[in-house]
Amino acid sequence: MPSTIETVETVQELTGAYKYGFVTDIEMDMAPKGLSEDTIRYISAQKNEPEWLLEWRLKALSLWQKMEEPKWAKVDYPKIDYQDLYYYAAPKKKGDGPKSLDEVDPELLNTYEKLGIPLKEQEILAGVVAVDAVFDSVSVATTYKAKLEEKGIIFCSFSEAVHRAPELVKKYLGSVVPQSDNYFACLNSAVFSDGSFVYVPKGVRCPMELSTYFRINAQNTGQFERTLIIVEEGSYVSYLEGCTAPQRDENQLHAAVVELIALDDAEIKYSTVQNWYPGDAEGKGGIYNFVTKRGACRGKRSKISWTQVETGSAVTWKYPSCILQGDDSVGEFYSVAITNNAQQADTGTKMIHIGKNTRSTIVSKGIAAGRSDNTYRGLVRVLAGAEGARNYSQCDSLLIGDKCGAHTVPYIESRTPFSTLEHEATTARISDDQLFLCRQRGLSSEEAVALIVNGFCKEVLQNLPMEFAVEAQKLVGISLEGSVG
Amino acid sequence: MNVINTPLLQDYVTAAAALPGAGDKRITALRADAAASYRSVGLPNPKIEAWKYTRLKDLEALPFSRAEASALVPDTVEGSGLAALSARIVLVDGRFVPELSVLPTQAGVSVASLRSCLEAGEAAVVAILDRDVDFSQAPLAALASAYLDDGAVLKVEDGVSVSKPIEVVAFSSTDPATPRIAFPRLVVSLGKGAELTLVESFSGPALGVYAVDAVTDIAMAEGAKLKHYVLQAEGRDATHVSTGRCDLPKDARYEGFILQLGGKVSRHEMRLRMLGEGSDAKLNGAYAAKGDAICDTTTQVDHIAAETTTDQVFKGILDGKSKGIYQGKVHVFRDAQRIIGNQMHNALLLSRAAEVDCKPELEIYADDVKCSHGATCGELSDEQVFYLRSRGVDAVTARAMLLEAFLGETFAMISDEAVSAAFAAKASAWLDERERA
Amino acid sequence: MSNGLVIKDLRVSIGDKEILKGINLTVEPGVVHAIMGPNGSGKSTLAHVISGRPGYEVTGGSITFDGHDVLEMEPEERAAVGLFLAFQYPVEIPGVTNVNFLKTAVNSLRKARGEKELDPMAFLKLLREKAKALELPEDMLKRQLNVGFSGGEKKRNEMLQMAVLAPKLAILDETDSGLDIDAIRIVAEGVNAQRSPDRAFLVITHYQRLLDYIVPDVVHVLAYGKIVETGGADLARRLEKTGYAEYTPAA
Ligand SMILES: Nc1ncnc2c1ncn2[C@@H]1O[C@H](COP(=O)(O)OP(=O)(O)O)[C@@H](O)[C@H]1O
Ligand SMILES: [Mg+2]
Repeated sequence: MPSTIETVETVQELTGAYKYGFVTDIEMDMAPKGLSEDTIRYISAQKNEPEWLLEWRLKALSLWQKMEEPKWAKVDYPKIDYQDLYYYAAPKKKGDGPKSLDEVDPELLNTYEKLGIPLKEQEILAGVVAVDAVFDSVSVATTYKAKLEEKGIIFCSFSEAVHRAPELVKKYLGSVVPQSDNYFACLNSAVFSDGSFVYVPKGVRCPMELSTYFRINAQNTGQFERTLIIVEEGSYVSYLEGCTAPQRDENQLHAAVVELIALDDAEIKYSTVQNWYPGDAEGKGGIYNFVTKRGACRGKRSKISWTQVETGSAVTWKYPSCILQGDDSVGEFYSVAITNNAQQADTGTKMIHIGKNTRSTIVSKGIAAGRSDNTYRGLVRVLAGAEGARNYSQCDSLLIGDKCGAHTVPYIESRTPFSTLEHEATTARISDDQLFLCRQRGLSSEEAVALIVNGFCKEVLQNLPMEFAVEAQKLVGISLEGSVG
Repeated sequence: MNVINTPLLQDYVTAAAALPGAGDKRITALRADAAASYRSVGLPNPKIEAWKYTRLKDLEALPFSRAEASALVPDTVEGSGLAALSARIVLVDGRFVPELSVLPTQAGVSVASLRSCLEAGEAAVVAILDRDVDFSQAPLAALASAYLDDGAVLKVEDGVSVSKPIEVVAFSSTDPATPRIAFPRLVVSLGKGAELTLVESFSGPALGVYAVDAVTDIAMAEGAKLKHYVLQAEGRDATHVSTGRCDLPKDARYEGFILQLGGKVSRHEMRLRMLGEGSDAKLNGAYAAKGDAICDTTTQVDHIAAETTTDQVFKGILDGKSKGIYQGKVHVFRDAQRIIGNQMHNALLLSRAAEVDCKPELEIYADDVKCSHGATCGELSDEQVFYLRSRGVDAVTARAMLLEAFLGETFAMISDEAVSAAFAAKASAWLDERERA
Repeated sequence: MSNGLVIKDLRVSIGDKEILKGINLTVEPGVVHAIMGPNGSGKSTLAHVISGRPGYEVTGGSITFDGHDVLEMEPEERAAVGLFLAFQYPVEIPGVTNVNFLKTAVNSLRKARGEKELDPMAFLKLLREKAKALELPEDMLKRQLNVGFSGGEKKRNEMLQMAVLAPKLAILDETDSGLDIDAIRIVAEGVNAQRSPDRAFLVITHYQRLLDYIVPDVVHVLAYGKIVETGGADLARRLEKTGYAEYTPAA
């Protein structure tokens, strides 16, 4: 079946509402409301953390208290009261916590089942994806651990990694995104709760996709996960993350940090399908998604590739970046960002060329509908000495309707003549002719939009691992429902 | 807070009282607003997004004072080198100098000193000066307006087509004793269907510190056509900032070109506001910098009315330790449908120490638009150099040919042939000098 | 000394990959040699190395032309001693007109040979004449070099340059590719008209077709970086039937 027809059929199948909006009723352990040293000591104690990590968190808190929330992004939201939030929420542990999947609270398994993420190993896509499921502040289950351990791969929750691989955590934590990097990263450094940790030893090609599924459930709770992926010489990993949250009238804060490290000849492929609750059609509720993602291509010929499909969140502020230190290293950024109704997204990337013959590719597709604002903001910087550096950037925007905005703000800075930088941007809309053609062939206008937009995003979507690509295509259609009259 | 504040705005109240038209409420209000705005922002700094890449180091470091009427008016001042002109207006240190100027003789074309217009409180001129401006991103335009004093006012009546180009030369002198800043100001008004080719040339002594803070205000009536060519050929030690603004009503046509070749730090900023349906603008340019010069070209195009079109192409060459900046923003307002707005910037870096920063920007609030921008930077193509060499052309000549061709493509976009040739010659001379160095 | 082009045991690499693995070839003045071979065998590499294109590393051997040590010379010096390459993929140069380019090239060569520059009128006359012979429309002369030219126009433009610059050895790198049969005929006539006792040709081609029109004196087969066979014009005709399958990579 041609994928276009498939898309249309899928779109037909699914109905308008945000389908992940349900709430799981489960007893929680919560940190006291508000942010103080006590909150941080509480979180650290809950996780039984070593002293150095507590100190690290406290240092971040004192830095953060001196910082100001950034204003430069093209997003507008009411002031966040950081004292009116819970910084830690975890499903109540029954006894010592689950030893295996069989011991995980059935209510939780049920939640992930409903989200389409079965955590029972035999059911997970015939063993091609291992999943770490993060529910509010903690990881509730990680599948296929044993199978991965055979190869020496560590895939576990961040909290577990602190105990299992303390040297690695200590060495690399904050080495790509320093605490003082920005306001939200600094906040995360102080209060981060859980997240995923991946370590692939030298010369290993990770045999399955690693995936983390983030779920915000509790009310008035921020989610501050922290992900650290280290890939040693000559190794490879493909990592995916998915995110959803219940439908609530209040805004919820999500401030994550992701750090990737690729050594000589290593490759990391990082894919995201972000579908946090976007708020209702009037702009009420939804997630504030303030995320710092950065990868360091430390090694020669290393490669980091970011692919993101951003359809959710009320406000998105996110710039997955690559620091191309190693000679001949490669950075890629493929992005689809869709905003509808009152959503606002300010997203893009930074490619910092330091090593010789470093290459980067940026393909960004922004789609704005409703009254939303969609901004691509990107930086390509070639430092002196990065001879032979190359960048190609392409940023296309599509506007649906006349009440939205699409913006492109690239910064291109070159300090060496022996580099080639090319940037192209275009803005267009779905033309009446295109819509008419589809409708004349029997498609509804929404099906037509889904079809055309999927075509517009194709270059990006095809970079997603197969299992995600189909999901993402559906999402593209659903996110734009109600965008044409 | 900054040095220029002190000597320039410290005795501002006294100074302002002595400026022409001080008795006119609108004029004093205009100056006071500008002064307040400058005071609150100060000299350009990276916190001002529009000035992210360019700092006016000399203005920060040296005690500049406002250029007084020049005692030493030169016998001749160099401009674009165009021979056939309808008029040639000369400003020295921002002051209109009738002795050096050749006034227009054609009926319906008039030139006056800005000072005389301000003294007479000429409503039409004040109205043009008083159009709403956002000084928050343009502190130097604010400073110039705070000291609104002299300059030239050029008027073309309805339906008049000025036969040959009119050139306005803004020449600055240098004073070895104290660095000075001049505020040349040009006000241009084109009547309905009027046509004009305007050449603005900025020049000064080859050596010696001075600063220029120029503002050009252009108002066009329906269906007017303007060709507006700017040549910035300041001396090596000059700080040059100029801010141009042109509003286009219905069916107005604008063709602009900005050639920047001089100065230690130069910034030319042009803002076009497409206010009437059917208006069309082309804004192209070229720049070349060497040594440790900083050369900034910034454009902003506001598509406020529907069915307006703009097209921009800029090219630059950076040698030595120079730094080139191109910032171009295309802003399509809500409901401004059926817009075409294109933009392109290509830069060549000729040396390891050179740098280019480029920020093309689209801000779009309407859906029926076709907007694009492109940017490239790199070195001369090896393939092209080799091709020429394989035909017997030596490496130096081959590179020179390619550089000339690179900039030459922009001069080909100047529809006035004489100006196109004159600007190409200026660029050629720059390249020759570079080669000899 | 005019003993033509002499290549001895030439070895050339791109990066770590050896492309030419010991080429021996002599092209005497006035003789037409053809080099045939499968795609990727190194034909263009050989042409580029002779004319001095950067990006290749000569790891062994020598090239001399009329006694000059070619490998020690700049590309323009090679042009000045009479070497000409008609490129397989001629590059586009925006902003430089065809006329201006050719004038600069002609005068550079004259200068290098200690001759006086051509006066503009004489040059234009020469150019028009040659363009006419190649059936090139005159407006192509005023256009930017190769910009927006069709594949065939680019190749004919290369032939025009050859005619104007009058080299001693012209290397034609797949000049026939992308040309229809009429264009091939025009190109071949142009070449044949220039055949003379003091002008040699090295005609590189994948197909035998061109050699029906430019009948070579000697035909070489280049495969996997080596000249594997040399013969007369009949060798080309044989290859037309059998193809290059018989030449397999050296172990
Ligand atoms: N710039 C290059 N980098 C790497 N390999 C190249 C490059 N140019 C050519 N090659 C390789 O060199 C070999 C010979 O190429 P070429 O000389 O173009 O062959 P031909 O002209 O006979 O088709 C081919 O294998 C080709 O892939
Ligand atoms: Mg070839």
